[in-house]
Amino acid sequence: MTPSDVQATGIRQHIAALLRGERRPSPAAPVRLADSTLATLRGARTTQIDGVSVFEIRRDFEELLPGEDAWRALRDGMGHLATKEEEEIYAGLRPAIGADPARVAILDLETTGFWGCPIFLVGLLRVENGRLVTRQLLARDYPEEAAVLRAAAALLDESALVITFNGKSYDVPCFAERCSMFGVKTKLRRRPHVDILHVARRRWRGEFEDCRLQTLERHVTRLTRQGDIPSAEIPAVYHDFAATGDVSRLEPILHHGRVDVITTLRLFTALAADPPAPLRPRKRKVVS
Amino acid sequence: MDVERFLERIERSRDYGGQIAHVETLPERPARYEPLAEPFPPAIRKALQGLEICDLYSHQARCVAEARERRNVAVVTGTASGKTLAYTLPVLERLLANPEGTALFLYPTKALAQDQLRGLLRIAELSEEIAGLLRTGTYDGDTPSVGRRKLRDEGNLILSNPDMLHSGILPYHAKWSRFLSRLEFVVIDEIHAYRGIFGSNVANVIRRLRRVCRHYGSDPQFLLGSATIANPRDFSRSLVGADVSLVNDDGSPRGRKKFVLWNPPFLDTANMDRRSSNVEAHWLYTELVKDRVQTICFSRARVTAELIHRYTQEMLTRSKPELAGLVRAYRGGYLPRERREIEKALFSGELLGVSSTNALELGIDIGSLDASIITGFPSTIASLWQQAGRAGRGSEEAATFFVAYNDPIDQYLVRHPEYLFAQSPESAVIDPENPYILTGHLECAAFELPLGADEPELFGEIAKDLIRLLREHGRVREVDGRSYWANTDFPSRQVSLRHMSDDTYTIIEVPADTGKGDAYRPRTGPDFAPPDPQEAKVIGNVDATSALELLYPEAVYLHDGETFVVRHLDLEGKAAYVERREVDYYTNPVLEQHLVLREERERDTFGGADTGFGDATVTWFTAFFKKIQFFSTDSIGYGNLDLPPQNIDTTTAWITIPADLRGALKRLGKNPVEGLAGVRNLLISVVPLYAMCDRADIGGVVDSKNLGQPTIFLYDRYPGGLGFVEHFYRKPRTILESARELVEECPCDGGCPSCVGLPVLRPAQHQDPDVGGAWPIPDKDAARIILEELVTRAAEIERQAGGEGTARRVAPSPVPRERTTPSIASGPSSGVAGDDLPF
Repeated sequence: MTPSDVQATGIRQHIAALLRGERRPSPAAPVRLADSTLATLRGARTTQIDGVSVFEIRRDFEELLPGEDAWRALRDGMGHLATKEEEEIYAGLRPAIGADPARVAILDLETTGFWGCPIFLVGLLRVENGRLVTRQLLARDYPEEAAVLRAAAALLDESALVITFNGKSYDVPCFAERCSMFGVKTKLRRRPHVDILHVARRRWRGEFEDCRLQTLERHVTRLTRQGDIPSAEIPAVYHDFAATGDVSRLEPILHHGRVDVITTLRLFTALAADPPAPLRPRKRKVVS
Repeated sequence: MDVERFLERIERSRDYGGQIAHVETLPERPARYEPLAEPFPPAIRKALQGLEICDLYSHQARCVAEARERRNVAVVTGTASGKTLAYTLPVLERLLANPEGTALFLYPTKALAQDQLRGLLRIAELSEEIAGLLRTGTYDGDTPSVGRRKLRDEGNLILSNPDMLHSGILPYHAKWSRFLSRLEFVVIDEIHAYRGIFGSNVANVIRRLRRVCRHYGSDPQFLLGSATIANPRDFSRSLVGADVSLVNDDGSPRGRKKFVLWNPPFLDTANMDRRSSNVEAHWLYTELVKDRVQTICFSRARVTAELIHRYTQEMLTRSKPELAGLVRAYRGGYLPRERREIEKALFSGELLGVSSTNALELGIDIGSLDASIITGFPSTIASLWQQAGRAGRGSEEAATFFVAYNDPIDQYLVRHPEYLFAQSPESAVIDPENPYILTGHLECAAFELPLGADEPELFGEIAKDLIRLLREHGRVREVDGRSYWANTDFPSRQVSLRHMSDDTYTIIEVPADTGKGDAYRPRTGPDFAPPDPQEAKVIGNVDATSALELLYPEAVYLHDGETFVVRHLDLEGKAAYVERREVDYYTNPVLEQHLVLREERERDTFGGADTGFGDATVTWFTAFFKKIQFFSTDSIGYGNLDLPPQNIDTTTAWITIPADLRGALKRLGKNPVEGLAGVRNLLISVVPLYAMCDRADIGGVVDSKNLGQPTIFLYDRYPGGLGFVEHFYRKPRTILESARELVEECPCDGGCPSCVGLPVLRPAQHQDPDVGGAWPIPDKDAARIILEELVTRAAEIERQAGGEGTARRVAPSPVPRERTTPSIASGPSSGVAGDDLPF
């Protein structure tokens, strides 16, 4: 019964003016900064993926968490998986058994809201040429979403295993739905998929205050976030970036996305190796 | 039934006092059948055999033919004429031919969709092939989430409602891409329910659906069903935004029907009070049931449906106890299971009678009955005929009784049967391009898919300007010629299709309070402790607006004729706690309504009268209640209440007539306020013609408190206003001239429902009209004088001002002829299609 938030009331008055035949000069469109500023971002470039031109930010894992041989840890962890096949508590890891570690992809999406909202950033952590890299496909503005989805679908279809945090309920169906909206073909729903949230809930139930990604990040992977942006603020900040092209608004979102995929990977490795590999005590780390 | 014999018996009875004011015989009409050009496939023929149908009625055959030609069709025929079959058969035929195809059926209420699903499943049972084809279900607020996903992913025939389409399907259309990309048919039944604000909203939801379908490469055909209205073709076209073929030549048979106008007798020689209409209705109802004539008794309010039921049951218990269990009450607010039970028992003939609100007016399938009683005019001619149409099976004779209340409209109708039988049903008016309504839907549309250059083709030319406004306000942003939703709001949550709240209260029965002290008086208010959940039982529900008028502390809540006393109304927890207690009275709320002018935005004069436009708050609340004894309707006490007021902030337009005109009226022996009340009623009839809204969408009061002088305030019955009454402020000449014409051309003597006689403007939905007290029809002469004077003076002022004045003149836009004689009253203010909760 109360559709009249401030914004709507403002519009109401202008509708009334419109009906009276009054014309107001249009306010100047927001000044958009040139895309060249985006190019100043480290790792930023325009690439061709499966014939689609897309803007991406590509960073080496080594550069982000120096000194951690995550690739080796991943291979070792996956090597242990077969021994867990019978353990109910790790049932969620079974799709990963026997998968080629070099064809693993961690997936995390950023959207402008919840269901029904556009995906503007697809974050991937993959192994390329024997190195772990984060690849973030970005829609610099709303119309680029379809290209981002098309390129992401192509990269994901190359993967033998997809790992997410809460992807069963959110990232995978959300990606598939946006794809179907744009007529983009994807096999994501049929890919082997490990949702870390489900495994984590069984493994660490009751140990921490909850099983959210950042909680596990603090307690299990001993990582401290710096320069992060709260998830809830991301949609509004992206709309703002899209309108102004202000890259300084975008940077915390990109950082947030990278930490999310890194933590997802490290949780997977920890679970795959768990036990015996000791998780604690260890020094706290920060993603640069 | 043998109506003649029944009437004779009634007339000979001791209680008869000349109540029959008029008997109109509606002639019988034989069935007309028509063959199909191409026979149906075997699966459908088999199902029709099972339904014992050999040939289709002419209107059904025409609907099938039009649908096969891939045209949109509206089937506009009487109650029980087989509309459902008319639109279901072509859908089944298409789905049999194209098993990948899908269809969406929309109904104005959840209850109706659920009822229609049962009908569909009955057809499916008759043919294995159809049963194997259909993956169907209702998709609404009651559907569990597992069922939702299955329907979305696999369903091919989904039944839902416009509210769900608006807020539960379109914003998530990607989840529905399979269903939508193969959508062959959209069926919208009971379209006459989509009038006014609700209809204008629904029309935009349909445009959004067509737009999303286009995106997925489908272009569904629309099959519409409607009760008789004055303008079915235009209305259908504006509802779906495309051309629609009309099928309105009803081929179903109708038996002879006697339509009896029944006026309760005077109680005294002074001819002031009449016997209670509820008591009269229950007498007729009881006599019919005693004759084993299956009867439906309609009345205007939930409380009257319950009262009539209670009276009837008592009377039957005394005279024919074996029949007392064969009557039930039915209304919105009953739990679904109870309703299903009653509907089934009616359909099977197990029940002999039902006392109902208009909840049974829409197409819930209860089969046809022998007699219907309509207690009090149901606010529109269209409703009256819908209710009358519930009686009459095949070629058998049937009866409808209209029992008048002692109010001016009902009394006018029994005095002037020719008016009742000649009056065409109302037009259904919508304005999908109302800029306030459209803006909300453009926001929703932008969220669903970016707005492109082709939107004006779907939403009208004004969409261009409105999209520009949305851009200027940062709601959308244009990139490469398309406008994208550019903020974090979820627009469909901010647009409500109906002007009523979606909140519901739960009615919970608790054990009687047998605590210390006065056991009779329940502890209420702050002393009330919610009971042990194990002892509490949910017996019904009610919408939030009604809760404050029905379930105030100490109210008697009637449910299936039993009395419950409200112990506590929990406003925060949205629950009413009632206990079962046998009392010999019911309660009637007394409402107060105020309009407070908050801000004057503009002012002007017209013919020496001050006019204005601004913001107002309209407030109403239940001030106290009366205890009314059953049967006698004697008031036996009252109670004060301290309930929070309900209000809407909206826009208002007003006119204050000059003091000398008031003086002149007084010198003629006329009360100016009664004249103003007449003018107000005329304006409520005329403004909708210019504002393209329903009469129930605007309200009006005559009040002296705000401006110190008697003033007519008109307001939009929607939060924030929708620009309806603003038309009056902008075009006073056109509108006042139309009002003057209307009153001058009306052939009645002292005022009638077609001119100054509109009844109360917010029909109290929960009051018993029997004890509301009669109010006079406003003074027709005084109203005419006021209008005449204003229009003449305005013309005079303009003449004196010379060219300057004529330049300001607004050319009166022509009012369509058939609309200048609006009929009777405004509908219920809630905008609900019936007494039911919508979704």
